[in-house]
Amino acid sequence: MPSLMQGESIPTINLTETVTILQYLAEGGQGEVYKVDYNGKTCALKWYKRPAPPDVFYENLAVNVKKGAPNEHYLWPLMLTAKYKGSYGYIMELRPQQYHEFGEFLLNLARFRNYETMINAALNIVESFRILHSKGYSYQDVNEGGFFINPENGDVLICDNDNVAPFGINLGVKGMPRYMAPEVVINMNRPNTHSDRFSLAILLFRLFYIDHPLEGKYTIQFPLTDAIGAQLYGINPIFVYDPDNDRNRPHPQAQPNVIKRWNLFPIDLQVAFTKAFTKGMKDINNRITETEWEDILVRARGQLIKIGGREQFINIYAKQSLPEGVRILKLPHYAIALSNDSKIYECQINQYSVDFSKEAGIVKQSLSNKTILGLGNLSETTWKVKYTGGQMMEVKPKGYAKLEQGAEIDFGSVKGTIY
Amino acid sequence: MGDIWDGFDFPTLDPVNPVNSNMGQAVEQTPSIESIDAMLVKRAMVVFFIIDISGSMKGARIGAVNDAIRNLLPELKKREASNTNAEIRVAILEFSSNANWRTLTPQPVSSFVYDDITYVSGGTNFGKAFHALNEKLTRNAFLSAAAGSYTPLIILLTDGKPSDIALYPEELNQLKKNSWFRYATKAGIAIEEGALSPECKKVLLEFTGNESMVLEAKNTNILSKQIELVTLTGVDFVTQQG
Ligand SMILES: Nc1ncnc2c1ncn2[C@@H]1O[C@H](COP(=O)(O)OP(=O)(O)O)[C@@H](O)[C@H]1O
Ligand SMILES: [Mg+2]
Repeated sequence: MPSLMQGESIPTINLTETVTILQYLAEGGQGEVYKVDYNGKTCALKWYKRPAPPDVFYENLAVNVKKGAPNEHYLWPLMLTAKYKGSYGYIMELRPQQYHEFGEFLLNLARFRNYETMINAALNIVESFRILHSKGYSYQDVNEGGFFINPENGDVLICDNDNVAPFGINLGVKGMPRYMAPEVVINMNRPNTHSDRFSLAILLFRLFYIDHPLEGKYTIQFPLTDAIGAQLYGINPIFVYDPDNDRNRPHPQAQPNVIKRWNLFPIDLQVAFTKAFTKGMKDINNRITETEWEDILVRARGQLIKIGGREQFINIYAKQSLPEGVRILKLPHYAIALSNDSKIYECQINQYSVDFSKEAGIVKQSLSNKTILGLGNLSETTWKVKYTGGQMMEVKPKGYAKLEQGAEIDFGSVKGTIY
Repeated sequence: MGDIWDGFDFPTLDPVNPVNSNMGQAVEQTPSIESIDAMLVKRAMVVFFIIDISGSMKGARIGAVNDAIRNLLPELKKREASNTNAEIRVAILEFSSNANWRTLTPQPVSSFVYDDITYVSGGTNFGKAFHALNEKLTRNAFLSAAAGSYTPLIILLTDGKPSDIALYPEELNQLKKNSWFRYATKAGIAIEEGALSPECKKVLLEFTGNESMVLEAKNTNILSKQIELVTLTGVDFVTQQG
């Protein structure tokens, strides 16, 4: 039962403003969430259930309010309330309607528009973690309840940021079962940046494959008691596709999604997840960092093209005949499959950039002859192209480089070849 | 087909499939995202209701039990719908002089339809109920869900003293050897007269092994609240939602 009533007003921490309850929205384990009016603006109020968390928690929230959100993807605490009726809460932006809870994607209540959006959602989650970690903070309670995703464009909003704390500090949270790192499950360590990375890998795995990376035909035979849970998720977790241990392969009836999808997505993802859940399972030095994930996901996205409007992954590691109208741009660090409307991004052609969303180039068919492809220059740099015949050409911003086999494109800081 | 992509000196990846011939293989068509709908199979959590339908439950008592379970179902359905950890299932055992499963297998709460219990008669033979429960508490029977099972929640509802005072202890002993039973969350609710009867509460204490899990519903008005409390707390605790 909601503990605050519609119309009830609560003073903010400095007692100069008030928050007025408009509507009860939802609740989780720790608190209730209300739609509120704050200075004429409609916001969300997270209100802790009694007994309210201790003063250190309140003080940490106050520090986080002062620090401000790491980036625009966080539904960050904007203002703290005064203590009121034995508890307190904080104000954040309201989640817009078009964002869906992560769990809705698992339950097939929300669906990504396409694979590209799915990969972009993963990139947005990873980037938010990268920025949070780079500020010396850790999230500590990474689980599916904290992420809202727009299925149309992959945009991500992260809520439930109340356990975010500087490295080395833990406010008592352990995290949610199935998302905790093994060392946290067995109480060897409190959550920190390293355990965040483990939980992030679980979250990403489920974004792509739905099922859980540590649940397969071995684990499903046990009743999930505390002791067995500690064994399966803490002491001796086994990755479903561990190359050296096939005991816990996905079960066709219990984990059908990962069976269906494992070979669908680029090998880069398989390699990354395999590392995350074998070498990286217990060794924090082998966990995949956000920078690595960004690289892996950008590579994966670079293997996705459209053929006649249909999405197609091109395995850039296989020796194969390319379908009509498909080229490969090979850069020192990336190989990108290209077809009509494919995009290349700033981070791929600018050695000094990590921007995976800024479009630097787009592929278009020639208007007179659809078999001729050109790479449009959307960057601010002039490219230089050398064709196999030896001719050199400059491609100014908004100009096109013809995608001819053997052509070499100099993007400034990196050079690529067309296949 | 267009040009041949020859592969290249890309950094080695551990599980890469070896390229086996110099013939280019055709590109395998990617299934569309609409064709790979998520089908999450969740670990099952079975909630057992063991309901006393002996003669003394006649009238308001059984009516209150029916009403309580009916009111509880929408709450369970709501949890089931938004929950990615557990598939909540319901199993109902009624007992008096004999025990009888009203659910032949545990029913997913999402599609479960509750039939009111109307026929009430006979003694209160706990031993029969314990025996029937023991038979089904195995991976080969009621805990056979594809993705495995959480530890079950077992709720025993009764208003009476045992009619089989000499026999039920042995059945309970057998039941206690069942590890699913040992790990289960167990609660007992003593209804009206039962709440005043030391014999009734003794059975419930033996059954749950935990004094705090023996609840009293001194009148039928609070029965519904008590059932809701133990069920929802039990489900939330085991499935670790929120
Ligand atoms: N900013 C928000 N706008 C709208 N709904 C929200 C917002 N933040 C949280 N919620 C909803 O409230 C529920 C509980 O929030 P959460 O912070 O996860 O609580 P807890 O930490 O107590 O589990 C979530 O499931 C979510 O749907
Ligand atoms: Mg929380």
